[in-house]
Amino acid sequence: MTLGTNTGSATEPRSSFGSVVAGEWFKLRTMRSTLWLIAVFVVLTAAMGATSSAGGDAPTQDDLAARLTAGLSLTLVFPAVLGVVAATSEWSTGLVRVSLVATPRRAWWVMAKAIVVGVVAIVATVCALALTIILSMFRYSGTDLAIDLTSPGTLAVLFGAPAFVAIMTVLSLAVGVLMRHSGGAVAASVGLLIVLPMVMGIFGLPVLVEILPTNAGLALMAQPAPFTPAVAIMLTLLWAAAPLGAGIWALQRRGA
Amino acid sequence: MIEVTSLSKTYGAKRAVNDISFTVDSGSVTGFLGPNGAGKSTTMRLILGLENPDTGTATVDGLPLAAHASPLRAVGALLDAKAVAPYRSARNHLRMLARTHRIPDSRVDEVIALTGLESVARKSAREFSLGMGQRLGIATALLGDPETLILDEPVNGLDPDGVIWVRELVKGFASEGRTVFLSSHLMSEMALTADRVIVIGRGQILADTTIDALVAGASGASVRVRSPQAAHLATILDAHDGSVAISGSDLLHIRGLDAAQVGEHAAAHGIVLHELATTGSNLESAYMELTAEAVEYRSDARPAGGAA
Repeated sequence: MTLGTNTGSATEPRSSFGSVVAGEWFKLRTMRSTLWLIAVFVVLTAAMGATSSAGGDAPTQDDLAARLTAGLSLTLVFPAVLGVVAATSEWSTGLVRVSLVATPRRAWWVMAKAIVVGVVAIVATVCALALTIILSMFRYSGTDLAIDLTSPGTLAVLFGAPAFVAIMTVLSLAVGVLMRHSGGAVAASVGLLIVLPMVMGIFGLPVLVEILPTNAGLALMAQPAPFTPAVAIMLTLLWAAAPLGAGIWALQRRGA
Repeated sequence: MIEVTSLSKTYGAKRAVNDISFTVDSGSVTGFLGPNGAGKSTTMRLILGLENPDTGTATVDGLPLAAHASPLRAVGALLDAKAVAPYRSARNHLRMLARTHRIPDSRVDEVIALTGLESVARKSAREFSLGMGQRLGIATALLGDPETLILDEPVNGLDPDGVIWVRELVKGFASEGRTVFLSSHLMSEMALTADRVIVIGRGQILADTTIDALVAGASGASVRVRSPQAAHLATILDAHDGSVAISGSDLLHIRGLDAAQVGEHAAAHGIVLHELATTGSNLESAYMELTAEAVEYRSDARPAGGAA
């Protein structure tokens, strides 16, 4: 019997952070729910963006830009669930025991997942924006409205929205790593990103509501913004970095 | 080589592993035996770095697993054959892990062939039987061509052909100078497969020895005698330093004397024998003796009046 060793063809296997990212990418793209979560996100975001009536009958260029992401604070739920499931599926399937033997550096493992879901979120959001712009061009043809892709408001959306969705997805991943159970983690993530801003908006707690992750992130592209862009970027990054750090720390301490 | 030094792990109030030390040498198959809940799986998880020990260290070839540049090349593990996403095909499960070490897909197909999974490699793991899942778990363990194999109940769910296959696989592995550490509940299988055994009970090492020494060190062979004059014979053998246990009206079990001595004493006193046989000691009885002590220790330590 051969163990398949000494065949000479195979190079010595090596694990690096890059190869761990490659493994996590393969894992995410062969996960059952990835494709449909992204597809629903792109279609729904584009549909809501292309039918938005922000600014009414005489929208400014900034209103047209705001229309592009009109649905985002709701459709965010899909990449958020993707982020959660990318973490919790490890525990629900038991795969974590195999994953962490292949990648015993737990910080690498979590960071690799964060990069993969973050990049997928960016690409999905770019696709959603592109589809929204194409649909809007049909909508505005024959009118004197046109989206100026170089206006400050539009540029803020084109760069801000993918970053915003990526950071919220990474935040959700971190919630998944911390909580491990899909149900609880989805509830916590959706609660924090979508429900809490609405509830606090209703009760009118303006200062608190602005620093919630969703609102801080939306401030990246809002015109006028409640914060300077630098503050918005810092605040949003903090909402990803702090939970991610907490997730890695908890995983190091608790074990698999 | 696996080196475990002063390893302890407590879950809540339960001391799963209590200050254990042992070495698993390369070039031989080491069995890991113990009753359920004795700490076998916890020990394996600690060696694999899946749990943090309270105290002590566990190293594989001198390093903790996380310090190896190529963890899958250092260790292949099967802890739980169900540790597979049910929607992913067997081949994709292996390809996914291969990516983490830049292992080519040709190696994936190699371990699929080696474990006899060619016909089901593209089926989702959900459709797998227990035996196929076990084969996939072994394929996963072999993927990185590791120097050390750690297998928790590898023959669980395998048919007799599969059991023999695993036995030959791990023996071949050890004969290449690699390290094999495997647990099993099947004592007869362990006796055929392992060179050494480590027995754990209540989180402590009860024995760390060769199979042969473990069997020899047990109370050993006994002689079974059936005689219509059993009571008389018992008195005679007792006087000659035999340790006699009487069961029923005509059956004796004797330790400390061999069958020839028993027969000669009977003949000298004109006692009729209907049966005279040697009952061999084996790994199973040696194991039962060791772990029974662990169970007794637990009973004594339990507070009086505590629920069973």
